[in-house]
Amino acid sequence: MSSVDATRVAASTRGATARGLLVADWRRMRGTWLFPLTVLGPVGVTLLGVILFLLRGEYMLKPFLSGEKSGFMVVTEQLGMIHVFAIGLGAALLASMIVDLEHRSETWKAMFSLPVSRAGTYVVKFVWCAVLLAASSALMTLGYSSLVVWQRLGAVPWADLATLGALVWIASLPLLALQLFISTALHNQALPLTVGILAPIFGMSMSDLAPWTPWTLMTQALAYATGGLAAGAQTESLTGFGPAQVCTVAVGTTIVLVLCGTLALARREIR
Amino acid sequence: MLRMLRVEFMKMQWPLVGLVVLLGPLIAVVLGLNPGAGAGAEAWKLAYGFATVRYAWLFYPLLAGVLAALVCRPEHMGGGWKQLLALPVSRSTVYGAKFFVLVGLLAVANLVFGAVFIVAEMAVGLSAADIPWSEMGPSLLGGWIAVLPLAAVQLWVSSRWKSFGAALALNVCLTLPAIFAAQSHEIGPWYPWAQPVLAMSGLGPSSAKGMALGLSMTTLWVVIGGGLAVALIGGLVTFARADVRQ
Repeated sequence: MSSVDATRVAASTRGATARGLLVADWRRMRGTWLFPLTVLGPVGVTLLGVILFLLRGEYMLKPFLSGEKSGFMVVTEQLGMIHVFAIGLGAALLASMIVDLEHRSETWKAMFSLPVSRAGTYVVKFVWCAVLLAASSALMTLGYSSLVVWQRLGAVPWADLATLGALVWIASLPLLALQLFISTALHNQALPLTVGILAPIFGMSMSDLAPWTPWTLMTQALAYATGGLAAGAQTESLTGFGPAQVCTVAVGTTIVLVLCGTLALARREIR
Repeated sequence: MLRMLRVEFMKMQWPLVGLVVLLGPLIAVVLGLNPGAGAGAEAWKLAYGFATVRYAWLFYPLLAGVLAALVCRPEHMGGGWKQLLALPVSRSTVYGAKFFVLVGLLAVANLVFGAVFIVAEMAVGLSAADIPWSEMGPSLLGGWIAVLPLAAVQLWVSSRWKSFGAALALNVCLTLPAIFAAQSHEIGPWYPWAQPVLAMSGLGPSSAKGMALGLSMTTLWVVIGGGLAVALIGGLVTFARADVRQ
């Protein structure tokens, strides 16, 4: 970073304004894998959809042609589960990468010796990850719509696709908050990443876990948005959360977990 | 080689490795114990089918990637590659030792899975007399053999990539399509990342002739044997020729 940039960052965070913190983190994120990952996730899922249609298109289109299923159901039936996995694993990766910047270059100490609010720093990191996940979700929606157009599955069901993208995104926030909490608390990113990659598997398909946990909530959102047709999800294990329940649980859990993370960072002794 | 293995054992982050190798299979079993279909040998088989699907479809292939990254982590962290390779050991010995430790841990994970499954099902009331040993033995062995090529691929990338996240991201990208591949009769037998679940849960081709360990002989030799050979040799050659800077 050039000295001009550095002074500008220092100046913009002197009052620790929210905008200053956001801009500072934006500068730090540039040139990392955070942005490419945000785009690669949805692109990968869409490509997988393309491969699926190419390999077994006839089989997948049959229920649409016979009028049993809408175009929306055809594209989300198989890809929905992958979409949820991608967002869930993306949350773990983003949370780890955004704090690994500070862990690896030991900037926590330098940063907090400036008049910068620790709570503000933590919340800003959460907000950035949430924004990146939202961008991923929006791109995922575009991916679905391009599949609908390509396979001539009728008019693009924008309302349904937007509900799916938004609801799964909201349901992913508790998981993001949890992962950011662990990733910030631990210097060694092996544990947060291991947990972040292995744990969602048990929540997202076929499990007896309660529906409100960070790992199962996304499956609930998917099940509602796609009308319960999720590949790999056993419908009987889903108690059927409606959108209001998903949002309430997601927002409540997220606030609690972000508060925990903020307190943990605020009280930690940084060596 | 034996001393090399001992060194590998000493370097391992045991708390974390223990956590995933012991706790992972445990959770996979405990999350759905009794499918609720009576008692006797049939109930055992049904419960085992569900448990293996939960365990081997995504968890076990992902575990191979996580463990491969953990096995290489000590060297990546402190600039250990250069130190290690400066000692009078051949690079192939170093790589071989890491691969042995990796597949050993994967075998332990499978044994833990089998043991936890039996204990947990007996705890919920299935009788010990009906334990389907003859089904579980080949299944556990088959799952382990099927995961070997995936482990070799992950060791290949983990030994070269410093980033823990990057190796895991690749692992996830390759493992997720197994959700579809395992359901398809045309693609299933050819997709390496779908083989652990096909081998373990009996979802594979149902014809009884020319089968071994729940897989067709073609899959066993071409996809698993061939895949293992390519990934292992590729990884070894890459590692032997790599320019190690730190």
